[in-house]
Amino acid sequence: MFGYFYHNTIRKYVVAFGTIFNNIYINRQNQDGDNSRFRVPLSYSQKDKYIRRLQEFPVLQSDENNPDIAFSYMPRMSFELSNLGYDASRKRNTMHKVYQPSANVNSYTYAYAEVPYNFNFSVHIMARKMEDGLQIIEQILPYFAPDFTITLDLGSFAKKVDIPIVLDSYEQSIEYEGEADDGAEHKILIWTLNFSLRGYLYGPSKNGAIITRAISEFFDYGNTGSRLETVVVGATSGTGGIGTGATAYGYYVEIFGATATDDEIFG
Amino acid sequence: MAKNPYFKYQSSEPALMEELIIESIKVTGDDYVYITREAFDRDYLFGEDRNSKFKDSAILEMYLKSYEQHNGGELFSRFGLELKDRLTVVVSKKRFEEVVTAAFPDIKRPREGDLIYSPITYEIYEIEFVESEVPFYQGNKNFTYELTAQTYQHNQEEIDTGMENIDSIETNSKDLLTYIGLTGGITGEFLVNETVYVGTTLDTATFSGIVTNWSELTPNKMYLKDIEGDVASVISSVIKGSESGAQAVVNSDLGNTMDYVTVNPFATNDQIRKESRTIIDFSEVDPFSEGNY
Repeated sequence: MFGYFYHNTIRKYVVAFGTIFNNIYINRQNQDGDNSRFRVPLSYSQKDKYIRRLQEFPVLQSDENNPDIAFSYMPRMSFELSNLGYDASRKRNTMHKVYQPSANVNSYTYAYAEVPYNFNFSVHIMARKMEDGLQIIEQILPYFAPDFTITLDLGSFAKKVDIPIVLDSYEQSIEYEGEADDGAEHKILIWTLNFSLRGYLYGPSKNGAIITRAISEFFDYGNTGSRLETVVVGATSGTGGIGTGATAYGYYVEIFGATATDDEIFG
Repeated sequence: MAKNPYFKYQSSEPALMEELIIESIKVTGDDYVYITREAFDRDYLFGEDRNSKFKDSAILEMYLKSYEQHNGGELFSRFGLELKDRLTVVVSKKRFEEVVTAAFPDIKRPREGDLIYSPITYEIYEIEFVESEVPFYQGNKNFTYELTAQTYQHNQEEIDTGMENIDSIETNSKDLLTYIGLTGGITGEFLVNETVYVGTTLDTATFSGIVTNWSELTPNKMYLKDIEGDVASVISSVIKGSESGAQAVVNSDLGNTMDYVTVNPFATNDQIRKESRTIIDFSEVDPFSEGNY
């Protein structure tokens, strides 16, 4: 039923979304009052377990040469595509087409109207220190009022598409209670920001033939109903294709069996 | 019935028990490094240390109580693979005072938040809880502390103990960003996360670094990490992108910033940024973004 096509659209949304959060810093002041800033590590959440294991623990046992492999680093951020759903409020006429040039002289490429979907993303922030978490949060929230728009190149049918990203909700989880003497873990602070990216999905592209000839037939309406004449208006072949700077197209008209060229018609 | 008056702990007996415990810890234990936390930026509102320093340390014998395995383990989470290894060690109260308190008088007892470095596992643990009543008044007195500790979570604290393999945790976990100026006439577009170099080839380069930030919107500035070579020595030299083929001339050493990138296999910031290069149209700048995402 469905032919193969793939525009990488959702992957592009994921990359674009992650890029927004890849340059967040926390500030630290040392004993001398000097400030240093540390970029917060960011990663996509849903990675394969064996990839995680191999990447994050290439050596299983610490030794004198690898004393630091068995550590966690804080704070950290991750993000994930959590859900998606059709957004009927942004639906356009399904029959609307978008076109693009074709290398073929006698055809063009088109696709039907983009289909609006909301892509739900979550950004997770984990920190040991409230102060670190608040620094991260404050670098994000003011940009979303509640939306932040980026312009994406989604492929040949959608070179510049403005994509709003809306901050939908904010959750905070701070685990600090529990028995003291049962080997309780550190205080852990996790913030989750939920966003919806208002994007589109694009169907397969198709080829359409260029109209090179229009035929009109004239009838004797009201009398015999017989056909009086056929008028053909057409284009002679050119080079290139529609929309590609085509040149050397000509025109001709056939009326009452006689043919006129475009020079004769238009002078 | 009252306690039998003929069976009392003599004053010498607890001392004997304590010496036996110390001796047994010395026989069956190992030398651990006790590292003290110096909290110089305490936040009394949120009750946390915004920044700390681990500098002072002492070597003290401890007995590994959780000898069968780490308690806790590892956890796959949305934040990567989290280490929650936990161990329990026993330390003599008397020996703690003789070694640690004698060296650092403010430290009267093992403190939650301090670190211990295990010479067996080569790992650092943060003390989560100090139990002082196990065993419970054997000989009418408690002789040991039982420390429950969990794998250290490095939070960009300063670590300066003077022990190279411990201090390397901090130095290996971050990379200072270097900021260079480029002149006009830049050809091509540099890619984030590509290696740029000065020289005929990358292998014979006299200077190289990895791009962490460059944009055609501000083409005359570039942030580099993993610098090899001296920026000052390559002023007026052509710098090339190993993947993009872009070229520019280095015209100024804008010096080290105080910005660091975290060196961590979890972090894929630059990979994400690199892939977005052909997706996000950076020429369309949101007025609130400053083109810096």
